[in-house]
Amino acid sequence: MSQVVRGAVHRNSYRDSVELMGIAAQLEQLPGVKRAGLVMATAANLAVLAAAGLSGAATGSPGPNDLVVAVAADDADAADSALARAATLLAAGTGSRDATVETPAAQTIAEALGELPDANLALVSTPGTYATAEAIKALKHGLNVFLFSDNVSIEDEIALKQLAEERDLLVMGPDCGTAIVGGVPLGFANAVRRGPIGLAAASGTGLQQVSTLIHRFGSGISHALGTGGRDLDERVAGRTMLAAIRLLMGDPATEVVVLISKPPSPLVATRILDAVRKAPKPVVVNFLGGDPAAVRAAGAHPAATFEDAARLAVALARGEAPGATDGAADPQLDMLAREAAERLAPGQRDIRGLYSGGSLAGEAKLILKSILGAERHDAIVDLGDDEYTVGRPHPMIDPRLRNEQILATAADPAVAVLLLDVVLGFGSHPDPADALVPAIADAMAMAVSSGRHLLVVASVCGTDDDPQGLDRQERLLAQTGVMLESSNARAAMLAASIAKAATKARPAAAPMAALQP
Amino acid sequence: MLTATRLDHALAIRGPHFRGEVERAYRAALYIRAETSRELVVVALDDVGGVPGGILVGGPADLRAFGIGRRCLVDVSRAATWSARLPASARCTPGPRLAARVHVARELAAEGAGEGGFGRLLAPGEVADPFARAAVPHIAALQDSLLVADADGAATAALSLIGLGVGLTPSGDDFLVGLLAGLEATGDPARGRIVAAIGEEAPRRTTTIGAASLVHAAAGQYAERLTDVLLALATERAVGLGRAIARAMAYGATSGADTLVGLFLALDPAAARWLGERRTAA
Repeated sequence: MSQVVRGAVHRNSYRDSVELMGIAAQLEQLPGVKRAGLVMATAANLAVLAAAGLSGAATGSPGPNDLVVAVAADDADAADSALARAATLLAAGTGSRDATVETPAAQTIAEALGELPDANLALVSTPGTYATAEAIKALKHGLNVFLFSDNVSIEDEIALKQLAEERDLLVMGPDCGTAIVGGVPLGFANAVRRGPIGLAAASGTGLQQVSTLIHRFGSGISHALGTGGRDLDERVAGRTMLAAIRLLMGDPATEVVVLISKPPSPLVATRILDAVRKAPKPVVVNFLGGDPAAVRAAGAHPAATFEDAARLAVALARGEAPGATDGAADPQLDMLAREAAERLAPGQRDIRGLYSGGSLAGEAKLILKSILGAERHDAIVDLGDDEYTVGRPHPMIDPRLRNEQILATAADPAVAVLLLDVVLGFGSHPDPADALVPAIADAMAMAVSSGRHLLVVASVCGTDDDPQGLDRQERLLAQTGVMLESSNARAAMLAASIAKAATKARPAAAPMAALQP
Repeated sequence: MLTATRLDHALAIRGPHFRGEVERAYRAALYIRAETSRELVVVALDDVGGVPGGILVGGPADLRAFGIGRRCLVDVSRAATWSARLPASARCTPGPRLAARVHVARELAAEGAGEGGFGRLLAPGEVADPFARAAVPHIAALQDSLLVADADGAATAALSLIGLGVGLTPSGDDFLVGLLAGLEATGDPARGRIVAAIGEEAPRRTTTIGAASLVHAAAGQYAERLTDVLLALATERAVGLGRAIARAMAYGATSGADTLVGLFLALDPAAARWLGERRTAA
């Protein structure tokens, strides 16, 4: 049977092989096409085309940076249509997800609005110096703003939030790491079920912990709005938190509202609790370390931990009477702690927390202090703090710094418990447990070889719908001997209970002075 | 502006910024022509890992927004430096222990090899890619030459592979990068002759980007992912090897697998029975 060979050369065109193979496969499906190939016109590739009887394809002396499309077909029409199809596919860049896109994406907010006229939110993550200008442009276009950028001055933050207030819009941030708006995760958010609970949070990992626990307890999230960490500062006056409360109160999909933050300044707390008092929907308030009486006086439900906040919100959404959340001792946790403490060597008493989530670290500190008192040598380190992240990615993305610290911790003979958080979700490390396990295993082995036993306690903040999979992450950690708890609060309580049991079982050696006759 | 997290210490950048014009834009990497030196510099996302002559940046998840022809500014003032040179601990001693490790590594890599490129040469079975089939006699000639320490023969065979195959960098170029890394790790004397041949011919025989990667490899500069495989093979840690192979395979569409085929051949030419079977079929 006769065969017609046709070719086309696309000058200086550079596509990855997945795209080129994808296009070749599509061309070979066309009627009358026998073979098709798309390769760079290097001498070696032209020789292969020639050996395959496709030498006629490379016309016009193409060079190594040119792309050759070669087609062998039953007749000229079939070959020509295949070449035309290839040109269309190359222009559209439809061969693969990784295709080269030579038409640039929208470069300005106005251009983006031209492509998506119904958009009502802009995500700004330019460096701080330029972020304010972009956020102002977005607000002036009638868009709510998710401001991921940090290094925005407090003066700019106030101006942005005033402008948003005038236009009845919301500015989440600056330095807002996470939010879920209408089911769409922004920044470091988790894949959580949609449902009747709305969150407003000045704390990134606090929002993640509460939303994932709500998911685990079987309920879901309407919206989870971040405010940025400084929103409850007296100067910013909780403008975003107050706007978020108004939005959630007016949102028909939201039945219960949870507010999450470190304790605000007294003035801001008053404004927020005033808004809560007038709210038509039940409100759970989790001001970590804050005064529960003031919350109760505002007719809201105080929650001491992120887990308590999630439990209370789910109970309220189900119309159940919220149970006590006063952190009553858990006998199972105590038994586990006593058994674990028996494995410790004399002198092992301290807790070392190495955290990737700042709010989770804050929660752990409070829990340890409430159980063990302040007079101890425990250290809870937030490795996501600016001090540790200059010139390197956040520990939720890059585990290297934490892995180094885990090994350093193992060398300290006073450390009994290593306390960790593992944060899943969009934007986080693709497989954080896998990245941690070798360091944990090495740390445990180092301790054992020195005649000690390092207890590792952790919780995973995430859901099974997250890209990393909660189940897989927990399994990997458990297989390494990590003591897993279902929330950060429970993990911190277990660590504290172990330290308490270790102190009771083996009192510290008496000071030398006391041994003198 | 992009912010660099790490950069190859061999890059001579004066001042806190690197400036240039985007020549190619992909999701995870930009190829930028430097304003002052006119060098082609790779600017890649941090999770790609170190690339020779390259800059790693944090921030955007997709670099394609930087259209071709645009000027690009990278803040390198806070970037840590790394070396693309092979560390002494990545040296491997040829012999049965290394052969056994390479066998395991090849099995792991074969699991993840896709249809295109040279990856299918790692295991028995049909090779769909006609360019990979065309490469087999040259790879076989290279293998034979390495086994009898015929440096000239090895160089001739290597030249035939430049620019051969599919991809961003043609598979043959990636194969040769892996081969050069392996020959350096084992201290094979044939490497010098192959390097000399490649250095002369690469710019003429392959794409600009393929030639750039070959020039780096000829100078003993390799991607961090490739070095990690050699480190894992040299240190004999099972966990590390699996992870390093998975990471190397994930590089590009076929580049990772293409590179490993070359690496494994260099590390253990005698035990490359997998290729032997292919030779009779070719």
